[in-house]
Amino acid sequence: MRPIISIQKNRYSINFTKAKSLLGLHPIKFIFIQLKLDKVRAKGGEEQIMAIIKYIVRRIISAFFTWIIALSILFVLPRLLPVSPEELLASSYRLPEEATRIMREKFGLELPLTSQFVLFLKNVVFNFPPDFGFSYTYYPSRVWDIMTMYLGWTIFLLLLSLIMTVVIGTFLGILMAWRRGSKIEKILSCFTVFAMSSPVFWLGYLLIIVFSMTLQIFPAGGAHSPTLAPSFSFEFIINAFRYAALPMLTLVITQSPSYAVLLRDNMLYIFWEDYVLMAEAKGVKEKDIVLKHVARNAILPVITLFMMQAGLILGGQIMVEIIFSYPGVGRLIVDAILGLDYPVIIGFFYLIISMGITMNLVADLIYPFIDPRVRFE
Amino acid sequence: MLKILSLILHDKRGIFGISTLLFFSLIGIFAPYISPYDPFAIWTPNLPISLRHPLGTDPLGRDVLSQLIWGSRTSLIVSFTAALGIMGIGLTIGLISALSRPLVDEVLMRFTDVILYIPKLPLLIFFALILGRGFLNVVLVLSLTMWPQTARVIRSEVLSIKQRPFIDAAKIAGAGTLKILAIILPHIFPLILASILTLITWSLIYEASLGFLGLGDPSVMSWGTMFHYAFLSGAIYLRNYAPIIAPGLCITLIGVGMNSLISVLEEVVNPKIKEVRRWKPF
Amino acid sequence: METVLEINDLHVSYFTQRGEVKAVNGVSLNVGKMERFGLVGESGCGKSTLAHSILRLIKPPGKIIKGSICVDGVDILRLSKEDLRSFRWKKVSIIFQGAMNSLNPTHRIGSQLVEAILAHERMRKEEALNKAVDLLKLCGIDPLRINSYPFQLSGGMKQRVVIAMAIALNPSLIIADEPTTALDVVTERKILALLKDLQKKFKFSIFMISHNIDMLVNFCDRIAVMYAGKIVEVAPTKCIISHPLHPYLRGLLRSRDALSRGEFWFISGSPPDLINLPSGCAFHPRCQMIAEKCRRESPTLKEVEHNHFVSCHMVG
Repeated sequence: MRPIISIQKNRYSINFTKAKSLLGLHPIKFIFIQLKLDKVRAKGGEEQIMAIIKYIVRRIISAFFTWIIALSILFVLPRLLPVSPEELLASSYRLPEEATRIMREKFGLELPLTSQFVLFLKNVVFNFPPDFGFSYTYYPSRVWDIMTMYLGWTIFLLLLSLIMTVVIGTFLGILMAWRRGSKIEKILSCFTVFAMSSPVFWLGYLLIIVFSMTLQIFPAGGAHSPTLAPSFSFEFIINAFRYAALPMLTLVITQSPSYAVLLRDNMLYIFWEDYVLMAEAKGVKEKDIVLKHVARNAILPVITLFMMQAGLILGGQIMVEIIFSYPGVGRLIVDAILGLDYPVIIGFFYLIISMGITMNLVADLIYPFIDPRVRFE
Repeated sequence: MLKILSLILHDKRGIFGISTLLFFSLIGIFAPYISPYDPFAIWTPNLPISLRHPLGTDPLGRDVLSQLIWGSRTSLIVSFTAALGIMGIGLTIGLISALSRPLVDEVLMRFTDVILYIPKLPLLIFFALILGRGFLNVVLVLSLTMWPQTARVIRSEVLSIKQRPFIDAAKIAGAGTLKILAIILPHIFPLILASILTLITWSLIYEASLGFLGLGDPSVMSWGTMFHYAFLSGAIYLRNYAPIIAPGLCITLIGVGMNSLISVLEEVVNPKIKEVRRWKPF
Repeated sequence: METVLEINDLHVSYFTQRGEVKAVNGVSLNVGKMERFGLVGESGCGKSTLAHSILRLIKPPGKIIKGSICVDGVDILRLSKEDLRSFRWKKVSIIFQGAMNSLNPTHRIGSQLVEAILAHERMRKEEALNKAVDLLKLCGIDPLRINSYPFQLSGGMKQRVVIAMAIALNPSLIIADEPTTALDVVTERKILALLKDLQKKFKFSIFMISHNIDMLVNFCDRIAVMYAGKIVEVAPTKCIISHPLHPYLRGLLRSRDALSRGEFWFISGSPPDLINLPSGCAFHPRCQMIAEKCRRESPTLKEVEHNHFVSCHMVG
């Protein structure tokens, strides 16, 4: 049977039809894998896999250390509050005797600071689910259980808006760069500046005014219709999307312009690179030049921006949850802060720090797959 | 400095930005003379737009236009002060980080990164709770939470200037760290200016956010507190939109003006971008 | 002699804020079939602009103002956008100065080769890939490198990749804009040998641009000298060496001879400002053989002896 790659005399030939049918891959990627399997050193191929793996490992370790440091700060900060440690961690008057005793033991309030830190690490870092004790307002529920109840909706809205932001931001950015100087670009540029400068809560209200009060298309509050019970039925899913429409729109309108503008500016820079001129000289179609060469390379710093903005994204998320009465973690924290439910506050910060670091890590991990130069740092 | 001013004034965007800034600043400064009524005075609630109350009254009966005018005073003062505070901390740390030994730099940067990772809003709320309400506290809170981004930006610019040959030349001539600092400062001046503008925009928004959540200073009227009362009193459901739309519009307008100014300043900091923005290759 | 490239009275200028930079100021020349044609001149005299305009790659603020450029009989300045796109690379290809930057750092070199091929020929990706492998072998690159990224290759190898791309569609003319300037002497020799070899196999003409006259003398059949946006002398290489006529060329050769003897001699004055060109002959402020006419009237290219053209009042 004819092998997939054969090297006969000095001819190097590749049976692509067979390869493609076997793996259904793009031919170039296929050579990459096949050559590895055939133990033929594809110069460039193997090095790169090793480099990517090393990069990923380094990043994960680095993120882990940052996480530990951030959590240590989380340990220190509450103890700086003008609130007694008792009140903070064990609330002797809001919880029944028994619960207070448990909490005090758990957080070792009688022990010296270093032991407390060790206990903290034990409860929070080396324990899953992390143990923050009981919530004051929702006793006897534990902090973690409360948070997980609300987390689901937050993640739903977050993912939805993130994906839409990236998609729309990229689309707008490419459009504005490609059609620079045209009427549509001028209109879009105006629109983006306005959208970027609008406060999140104002825009949310504006949308409520227009779509809920006046046009009555989308509901103004909640995650789903109160008459529908949560389930995975089609009907419920549609309903959930309907209720998420306005919050998502608010987030997308306020966040996508900054990506779009950054992408556009970068693309304008890259238009002047030599390899773009080379592509044009090669007779590549304009559409392909813009997408495959310019946009592809311009999107890299945009991802870096995304890395640094994880905090902003989550901040916007919280604001939107408040305005639209969305039962997410954002609502929870505001109620907790105003109600001085300290264990929940601490738990929430843990959550938010972890989410932030994870988002950054994810962006970091995507990087070597799009920018090959980074693999060898 | 004067060169920058002339560059700004010759550009359409610059003119727009400066005029917005001046407009609102003047309103803020002359608020006691311009405002028709005391913003806390109570009239009939939910009056529509009329000659006596050009923007109507909010559900609590207070004149919206007066609130807006007095609000601009508070919001702008807070933003400016906060921006200066943030720049102060950010500039110091950025400079120290960039001009010190790599070890110090690394430690400072890690510390900065950690604070960067924490989302601003919860942190703001947290500090606001601790420090209590009040005008000065808001400024303090903003200064403590928002410096990392600035520090990073300053640091990276100073680092790239440090690579340039004239710094090496200065070192050979025996310049100490302070002297080098003096040499570098004029070069980062446009960046500092652009950053301050950005910070003012952000401070404005965050101050409004805090106000909206009820964590601002209740004794003064600011745009944020306007939102807060509107939200609390259910202005939306009462179809009284003016107290919501008006302050937000002002904030947005200032933001747009600032962004235009920053756009112009960007071209001063980075001359290449000006050329790039002029011509389209195809 | 059949001509592959005919440039007639070409004018290209850059309209900058400081004024109109007349980079190409009335250039006419021919390149024949299977000829190796060289163009020499100082930095900033308009050579690269000339090269770019053959493929209509002039970008704003530059503009081709007037003239005609005919390749294989077709005036490319009159082509529509789509015709221009299919004309590019098929009839004329170019090797840019600094091959390092001509390659997209985030694409594998195999992809970039395939891109050049598929932009013009309808074949299956697999066939294009096979062809790319063949091209790499022809240019002396290990075909297993097809999956490498540009940053994994050395300067010489990158240059070979660019050459492989240039010959991919078997063009009639290849423009080489300072192809070896960034390379060391040993690699330069190899690249030039490769080009000669490929030319024999594929029968294209080469339009080679450089500021290094020695390299051109070794490589080209005919050489043109460019100064301040104009061609001042064109002749077969033998004539260029044995009896250079234009004062600028003579100055160049003289300073190069002096250097090889260990002395210093250079043409007095400095290159002209292309925005404010001197009146009459652009070289007159630096010329030893100057006369009154040179200040007033701009000379034109005249055939002084067989196939030897000079643009100077004081010659012929």
